[in-house]
Amino acid sequence: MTAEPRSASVPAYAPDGFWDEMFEAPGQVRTHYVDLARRLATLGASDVAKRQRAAELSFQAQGITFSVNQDPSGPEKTMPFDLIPRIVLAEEWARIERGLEQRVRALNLFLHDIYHEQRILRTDLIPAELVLGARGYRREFRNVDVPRDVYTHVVGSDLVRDGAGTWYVLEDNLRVPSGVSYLVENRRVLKRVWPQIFADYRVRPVEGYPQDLLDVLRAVAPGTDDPTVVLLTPGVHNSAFFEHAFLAKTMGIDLVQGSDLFVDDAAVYMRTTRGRRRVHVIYRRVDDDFLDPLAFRSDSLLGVPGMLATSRMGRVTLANAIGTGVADDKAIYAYVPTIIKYYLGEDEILPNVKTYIADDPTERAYILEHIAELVVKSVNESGGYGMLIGPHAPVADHEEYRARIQANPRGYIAQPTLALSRHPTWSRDHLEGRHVDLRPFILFGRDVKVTPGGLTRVALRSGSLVVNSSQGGGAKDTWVLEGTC
Amino acid sequence: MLSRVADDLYWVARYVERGIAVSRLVDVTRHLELDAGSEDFWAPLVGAIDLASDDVRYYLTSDTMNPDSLVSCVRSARTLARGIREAIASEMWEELNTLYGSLATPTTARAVRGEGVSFARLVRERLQAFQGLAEATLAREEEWQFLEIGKFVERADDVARVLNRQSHLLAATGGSAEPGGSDVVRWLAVLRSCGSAEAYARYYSLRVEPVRLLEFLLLNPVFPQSVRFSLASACAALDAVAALRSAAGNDPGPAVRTLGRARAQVELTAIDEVFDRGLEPFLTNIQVLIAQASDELSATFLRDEPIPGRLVGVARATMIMAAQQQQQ
Amino acid sequence: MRIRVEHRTQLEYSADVFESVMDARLGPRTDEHQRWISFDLRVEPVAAVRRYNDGFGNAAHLITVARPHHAIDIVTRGEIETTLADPFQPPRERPTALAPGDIADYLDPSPLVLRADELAAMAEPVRAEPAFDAAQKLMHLVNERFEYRPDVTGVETSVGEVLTHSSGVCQDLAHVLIGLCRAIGIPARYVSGYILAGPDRDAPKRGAAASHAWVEAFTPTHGWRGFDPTNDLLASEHHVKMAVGRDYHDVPPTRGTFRGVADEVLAVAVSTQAVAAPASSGR
Repeated sequence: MTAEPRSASVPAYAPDGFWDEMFEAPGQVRTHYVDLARRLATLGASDVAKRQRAAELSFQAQGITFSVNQDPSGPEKTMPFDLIPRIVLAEEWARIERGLEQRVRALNLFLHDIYHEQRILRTDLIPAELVLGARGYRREFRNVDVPRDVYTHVVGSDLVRDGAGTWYVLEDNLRVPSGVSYLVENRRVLKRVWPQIFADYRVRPVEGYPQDLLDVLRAVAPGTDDPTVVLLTPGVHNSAFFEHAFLAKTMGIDLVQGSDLFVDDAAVYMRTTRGRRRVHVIYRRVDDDFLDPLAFRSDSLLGVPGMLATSRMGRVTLANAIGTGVADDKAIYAYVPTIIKYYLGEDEILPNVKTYIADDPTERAYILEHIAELVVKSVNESGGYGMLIGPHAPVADHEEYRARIQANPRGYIAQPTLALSRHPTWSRDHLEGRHVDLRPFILFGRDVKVTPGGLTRVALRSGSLVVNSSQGGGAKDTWVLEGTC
Repeated sequence: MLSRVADDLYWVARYVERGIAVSRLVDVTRHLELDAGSEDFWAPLVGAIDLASDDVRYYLTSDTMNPDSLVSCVRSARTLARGIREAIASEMWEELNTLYGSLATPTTARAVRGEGVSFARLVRERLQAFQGLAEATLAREEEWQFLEIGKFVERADDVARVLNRQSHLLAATGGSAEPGGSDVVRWLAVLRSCGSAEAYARYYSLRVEPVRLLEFLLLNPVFPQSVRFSLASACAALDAVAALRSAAGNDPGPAVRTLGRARAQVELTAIDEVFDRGLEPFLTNIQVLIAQASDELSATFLRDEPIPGRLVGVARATMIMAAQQQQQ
Repeated sequence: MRIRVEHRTQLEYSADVFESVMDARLGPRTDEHQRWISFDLRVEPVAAVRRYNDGFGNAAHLITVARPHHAIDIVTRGEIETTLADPFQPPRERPTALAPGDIADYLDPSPLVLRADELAAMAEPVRAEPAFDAAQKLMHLVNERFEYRPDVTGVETSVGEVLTHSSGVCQDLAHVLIGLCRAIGIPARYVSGYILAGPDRDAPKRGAAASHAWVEAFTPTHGWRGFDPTNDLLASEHHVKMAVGRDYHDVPPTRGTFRGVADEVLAVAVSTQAVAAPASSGR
């Protein structure tokens, strides 16, 4: 790889003062992107456009879709895919991996503690009310011995880079993090429409994810040599249904709905053409609230009566365990560095973004005063909903959020608006910078495994900071390079 | 395999076969329309009493209020298939999905407004392609068997229904009288609505007689559209899945017996006996047995209910028991 | 005091149903006020019964009947030794403070006991008093102001509706008392259990023929003590506890689902009697 500065043969591209993943400075490509830049330069706009279209068609033909606007009966869209991969150096990734592993272990110890002796709540490190009043806190699941003491089998932590190029963890998703199917499909499609670019790089593979996930699920089965594992989906009307079907198929397990299961003699069974069949592990993409009409929402048709009792008795394992949503709460996120210190005795490897908790009177006052500069988020929402980006929003929205915060301070946090890093993204016929984040997936069974890559999400609209697919964001393939260790 | 998936496969197959049957009826009505004085015949043939010809065409092809119209069949099949894509080959799904998508396009709307025949042919061809893909790509395991059961149960039911609708006509001239010109046209129409006119001709040449017609469509053991062939095929497929269920230690249930009884009727009854007993009661009995077997099949294999023979009304409802209020 | 209890729950269906799943909180419970000596739970027709502990530490039973049935009959029989003769007497050792988890459970709003201004206003006059006295006064208040009426409320009636009607059954009166205690910072929990019927003057008047509900409040001086607003009594050796929770929603004696289409009729019968303790074998 050479380090020659790129000339105008790569169409004039402006980093515009943001940290750019590909460009160190205008016209100067980062070392590890040089080969890619060369390919781009030799291809020409129409070739790139042609491949971009081929990729889109590939997604469409396979029906890799999701529902927009959280409306399952509405139109299905394919995930907009951008051809230009995002490349991460091996050394950089090694640090990210260590940081994510540390984080997941600490969160898991936190959850175990919260649902057992609650030692941390007897200190003053984190307000007890914040944890016990969190919507995701499930007192019904206290004092259960979960297999291997693992609560969070699948975690998706969102990472961003700021203007100085420093990596931060933006949030942790511990309930039903999604997106991994796109991760695998993006790689496959890119290999198909532009195989040449892979020749210059040694990219770590990601297609092992489904097998890794299956290994995790099997590892936490209640005592049996040959566990039956299923994936519980809310059904075709769920916006992430494609991913549920994809994962079930690639793992080779049954995709079930609540009505396919029933509990008898404190065991979960599924209805098959040959009679009932025992289920040992359920990878459930149904939220806690809907899992068991006897224990939680009685109007839920998505769950199975008796599921909670059965899992309390250790006769079925749920992944992720019931109650992990308490750590999903963005107000709890703010305390993760504290949690890492308390349970592991270590400083956090990956920093948090500075977070103001509206529940605290002093911080609330700060938020209300500076709302125009901050990003305000609802503590329990995902998908980019319930979010205000102060600098981009009209004054009317500022007022609306001020009112919401005052009405329900526990429900909101705020963070400074980060100048998220950008990545060249194909826009019609040339490259433009778009803000990106990164969602790696972390598996925890026998040990912690971080998928080498993750979903790089792109805010497709110029200047937008919202990367979520449900709000029009797209995705890129993410390359983690093989390192020399 | 999951009971719900088997249930959906069974019904996808039924809707696909039903769509093919309805498309043939559209063909037949088009031909008959061109003859004067035949309204009293073809309208009942398609089960659309008191409708004018344009309305019948609409009723059969595009009326979404008619659960058996072409559009409804395709939509039902596609909706179910979407939830069980993992059980069928992706080409099969794409066939249904593309067909469904094309229903709403302007070209199709024009085709329907026109004669309806080209639309019906389009739909039939795509549905037959679906069946062909299944035959070529699915291993003969449970998925395949449930598709077969659905297809042949539906076919037997459809043919029996068409014959039953014309039973008064076919029985009246049963055996002896010389056929009148218009009668022949009508019998040919019955054959065509089962896609069987040419095949019949190969067996019986051009002598169209009710007795031979009935023998052909009801009792012929080797013609794939005959009720006997369909029931035998359905039974064979059902036996295959019943054997798997028995091997797993569960009762295969009454569906096997009921369907077997229907099959015995058409295997062991000669055509004279059919007329002696009365054509209409005979056909009605077949249809009743098919419907009963279908319910029993659902209850046993597809809902996994403990007493297969007893129908519990709402398949997937659960009721919350009264929790005890603490009274005192 | 030694008490024998029999608790029968009968469900009858108008047609065969199947896949019944029932979650029961019928005891046994052993704590500082009682020792459950024998416990027997039987189900007709033959059912799968599994015992486990719920998230509140209550003994629970998961009862399932998969095959078709048209009735379920659950009978529990138990013998309990109750030990709290004088609830007014503070315990020998000063009670340890509640853990944060318990404080959250028993002070925060719960599914059927939400915050209400009316409750806060009603409880305000006794806020300054020592907790144990305040709790008693609140209990008297509920007993006086609310009328016991069995047909006004339902299984999932929340405390707001009870306030509107000023009446309810023991479950509802317990909810009101819980709301009042919590409003002035006294942790309070719902107790589901039995009360001994008896002819003598001190024995409670109401609650013996079915399961009964009252309140336990935690005070720094006495720890957990029971307050029965229906009978205007402190709970003592005449009360037997099955389960405790934030409110009724956590501990209904039985709660279940079934598959099928049928109407359901529920009948409950409870009998309690004091029995002589077996003669001690000499010490």
